[in-house]
Amino acid sequence: MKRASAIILLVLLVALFLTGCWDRIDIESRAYILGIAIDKYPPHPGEKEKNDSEAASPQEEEKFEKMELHAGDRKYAMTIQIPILKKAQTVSAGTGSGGGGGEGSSTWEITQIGSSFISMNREILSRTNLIPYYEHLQVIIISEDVARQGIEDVLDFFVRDQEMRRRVKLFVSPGEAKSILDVKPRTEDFSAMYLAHIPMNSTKNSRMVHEVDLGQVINYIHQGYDFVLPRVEATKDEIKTSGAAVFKKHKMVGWLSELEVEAFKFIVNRFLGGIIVTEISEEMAAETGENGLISLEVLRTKTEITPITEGKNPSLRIDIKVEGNYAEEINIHTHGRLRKEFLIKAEKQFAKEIENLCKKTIRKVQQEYEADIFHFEHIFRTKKPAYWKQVEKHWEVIFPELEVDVNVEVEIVLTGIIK
Amino acid sequence: MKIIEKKKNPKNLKIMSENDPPKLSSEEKVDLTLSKSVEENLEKFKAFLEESSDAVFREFKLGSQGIPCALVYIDGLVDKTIIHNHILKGLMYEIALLESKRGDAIDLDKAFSAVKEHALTVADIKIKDTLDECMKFVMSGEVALMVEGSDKIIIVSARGWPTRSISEPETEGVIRGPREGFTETLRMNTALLRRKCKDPNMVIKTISLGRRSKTDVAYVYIKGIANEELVEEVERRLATIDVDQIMESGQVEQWIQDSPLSPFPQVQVTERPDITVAGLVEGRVAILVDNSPFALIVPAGMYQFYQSPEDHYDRWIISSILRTLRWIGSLVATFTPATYVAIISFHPGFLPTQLALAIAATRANVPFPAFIEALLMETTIELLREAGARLPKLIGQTIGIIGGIIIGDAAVKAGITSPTMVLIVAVTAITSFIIPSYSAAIAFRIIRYPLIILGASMGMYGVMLGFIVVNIHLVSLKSFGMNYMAPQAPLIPQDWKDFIIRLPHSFLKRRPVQYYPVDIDRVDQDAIKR
Repeated sequence: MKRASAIILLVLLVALFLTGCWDRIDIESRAYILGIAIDKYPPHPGEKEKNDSEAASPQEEEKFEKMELHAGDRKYAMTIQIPILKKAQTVSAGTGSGGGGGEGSSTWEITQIGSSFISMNREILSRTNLIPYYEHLQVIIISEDVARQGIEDVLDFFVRDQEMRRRVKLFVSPGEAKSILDVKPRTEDFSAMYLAHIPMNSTKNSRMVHEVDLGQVINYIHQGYDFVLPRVEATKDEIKTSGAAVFKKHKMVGWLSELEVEAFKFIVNRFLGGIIVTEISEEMAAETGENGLISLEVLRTKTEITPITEGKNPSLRIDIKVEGNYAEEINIHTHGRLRKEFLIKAEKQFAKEIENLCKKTIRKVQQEYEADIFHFEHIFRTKKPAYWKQVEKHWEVIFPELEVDVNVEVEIVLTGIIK
Repeated sequence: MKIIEKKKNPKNLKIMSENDPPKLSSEEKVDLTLSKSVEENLEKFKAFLEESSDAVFREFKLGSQGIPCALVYIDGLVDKTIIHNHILKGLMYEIALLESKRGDAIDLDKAFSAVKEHALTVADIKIKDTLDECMKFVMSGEVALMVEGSDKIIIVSARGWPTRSISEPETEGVIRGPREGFTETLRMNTALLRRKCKDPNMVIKTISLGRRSKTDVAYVYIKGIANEELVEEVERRLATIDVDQIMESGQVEQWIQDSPLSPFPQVQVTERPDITVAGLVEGRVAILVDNSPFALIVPAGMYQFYQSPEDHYDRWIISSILRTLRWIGSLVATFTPATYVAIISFHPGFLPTQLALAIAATRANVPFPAFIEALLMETTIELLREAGARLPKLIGQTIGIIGGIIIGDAAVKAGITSPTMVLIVAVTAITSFIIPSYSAAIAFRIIRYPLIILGASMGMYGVMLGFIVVNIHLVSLKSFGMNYMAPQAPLIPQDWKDFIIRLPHSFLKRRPVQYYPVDIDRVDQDAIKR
C-alpha cells in the first residue's frame, strides 16, 4: 500500500516535468521589438518615388515584404525595429566578441505588407532566425494617413494579444512612420528607445503630450471620448516630438501646434512644468523701458472646471492657478529693484498670456475640429448628472457652441537666486 | 549505563562464535563482585586492564601492621602531584607518624575508615562497592584505592589531563562580546556556564551515552523557567540514543531532532557560553557533550538561525537592520539563481528593456541554456568552497583568488558562461554566508538546486511552486514541540519584539511565549492583561 502510493506520487511528480520546458525561449534567441511603425499601403505616389530612389533594389526587397493573403487587401505596411545586439554600443559589454560597436546599423527594420497585423507578425518569422517578442515594445508610430482612416482597427491586435503591454506609447507622424524608426540617434542605439524617453522631459517642457499610452487610448476609444496623441517628426538623424494630433472618436481630424498643446495641458490640468514668455505691459514699460520680455517657469498648476447650467445655454468656467518662478528677463533691468509691485504686474501679464492662449485654443478646437479633447463632456457627466441626461444626445451640437470662460491666476513664488 | 556487561548482543555473538569461537573475554575471566582481599580485587582490575600499557597498579603497605593497599589509575588522565602529595604521602608516611604519636597500630578492621577519615587529604572522594562503578571512574581519570579488609573501594578524584585552553570560537566570531568559547572538556564547559549564571536553580545533569565510548552528556536547564515537559522530553530523547560511540554533539543532534529527513536544522548549535546561557534564561535546554566544543540548544526555531550573538550587545537599531539584512540575504541566496534562470528562459518581459538587451547581448555567445550554465557555475562555486575549507588556511586564500577571479573571468572569456551568471553566482555565494548559522546556511544552499530545476522547467510558476513547498515544509516542522516558524506561523505578536526587529532591552521584559516557560516574566511586572 505504502509502496503503491509512493509510485503514484513519483509518477505524478514526473508528469510535472514531462511538459518539458514548455514555452522556454532563451533570452538571446528572441527578437526584442522596440518600435513599430504603421504606414498606409500603397503610399502616396510622391512618397513612392522617394522610396524608389533611396532603396538599392526596391523590387527585390518588396518581394519579401509582400505576403500572400488569405483575404483582404494589402492595406498596411508594418515595420518593426529589432536591435542587432552585437553591434549596439550601449549593451554589448565586452563578451570577448566583436568588441561592441562595429560598423553598420545597430538595428534592423523589417517591413511587412498585408491586411491583418497578426498575420504580418507571423510572416516575419519566415524572415528572421529570432522570435519576435513584444513585451519590450516601446512605441507605436502611426502615420497621418492611417490615423485619418481611424486607428481602432490598427490597435485591435496590439491590445488583444497577450504579449502586448498597455504602457506602449503611441505617436502620430505627419509623414512616413517608418522614417522615424530609420533615424540613427546620436546618443542612443535604438531610435524607438530614444523616442520613448523624450516624453519623460515633459516636467520641464510643456509642448509635448505625455502619458498617452496604448491602454489609455483604448479606453478613450471604447468610451467614445475624443483625445490627442503626440506628434513626432524626424529628419535624417533627429527626432522631434511636439504638438499633437487631434482625434475625433478614433479618427484623426487635425493638428495642434506646440503652443496649443501648452494651452491644452493647462486646461486638462496635466501641465507638469514649462516656460511661459510674455511681453511686459505698457505700465511696466514706463518703469523699465520698452520691448522687455519676461519668462515664467511654471512650477505648479491647478485647474478647476465648473459647469454652469443656469441660464439659457450651458457654459463652463475654467479657473487655472499657476505658481511659478520669475525665471528670466530680456531687455529690462530690474537688478536690485525687483519689488512686489512689479511682480504683481508681471503676474497679471503672465495670466493674460495664458488666458489668451487657452481661449484661442479652445475656440480652434471647438470650431475647427469639433472634437471634445478636453473631456468637458466628462465634467458635465460627473458634476451635473441630471443635466447631462437631458443634453447627452445633443452634445455634438452643444460642444462647438459652448461658452467657456477662462480665469488665470499667476503667483510668482520665487525670483531665482538673484534679486 | 553499566561499563561492564556480559553478552552485549547475544544473538549475533552466538552466530559469530559458532564460526570462530572467541577467546575468553575479560568479563568472563573473573567474578565481578568485589571481595575483601586487595589481591583479589586487583586481579579483577587486571583482568581488564593488564594488557594496557597506560594502566598503573600500585601496591603498598599501610602503617606498621603492613596492611596491603593498592591504587589503580590510568596514566595520563590523572594529576600525579595529587597522587604523590595527597594520597601516597599520607598513606605511606603520615599515617605511620600518626600511629607513633598515638602509640597504637591501625589494625585490619579499622584500616578502611582510618584511611578515609585521617589519611586522605583530598576533597572529592566517593565510596563505591561494585566493580562496575569503580571501573567507570577509573576509566574517567580517577584513582581507585583498595584497602585490605573492606569490599568497598575509595574513588579519589585526581583528574588532570592535557586540555586545550579556552580560546575564541572560530565559527561564531563577534566584534563586540565575550571572546571565550567552549572547549573539549565537559567540566570546563559547565564551569563556563556557571560563571555566566550564578542561579543555583541552574541544573546540570549528566548521563553517559554510547555503549563503548561512555561519553558524558550533560543537559542543563534552569529549574523554574524551563518547561518541565520539555525537560522530560529531552531526557526521554537522550535515553533513546543507542549507539556504541559518540564523538561529537553532532551525533547527538541527529539522534534527537524531530525530522531527520529535513535539510533544515532543528537544533541550535553554538560554541559560545553566552549564547547558551541566554537560551537557558529563555527557558530552553542546553545539551553539552564531552569531547565536543559545540553545545546544543533545544528547542530551536527558524528565527534562531538569523540571530547573531552580537544582536543583543549592539544598539538595537543596528541589530534590527542587520537582522533584516539577514532575512533578505537568505531569500536572495535561495531564490536568486532559480529566478534568474526562470526569467532568462521564460520571461524576459520582467526585466527593464535595457537590462534585457544587455543580458541577451552577453549571452549571445554562450552555447548552453541558462539552466546548464547555472548548474555549472553553482557547482563550481561549491567545489571552490569545499576545497577552500579543506585546504590549510594560507593555501585556501590562494584557491579563493584563483577560483573567484581567474576561473570566473576565464569562464566568461572562454564563452562557457555569461558575466551576468558569474555575478548571480557570486551574489548568491556571498549572501549565503550572511546567515550566522552554518547548518542553516547549508540548508539554503541545498534547496537552491531543486529550485533551479523548477525554475528551468516551469519558469516563475515553478519557482513560486518551490517557494510554496519550502514554506509548507517549514511551517510543518517542529522542534521539541515548538513550531519551527514561530513566532511567524503561528503568529505570536508578543514574541515579535525580538524577532526581525529587536526592540530596546527595556521592551523585552517577558520571555518568549513560544517556549512555554514556567515563569514568563524576566523582571517583576504587572499581570498580563487579558
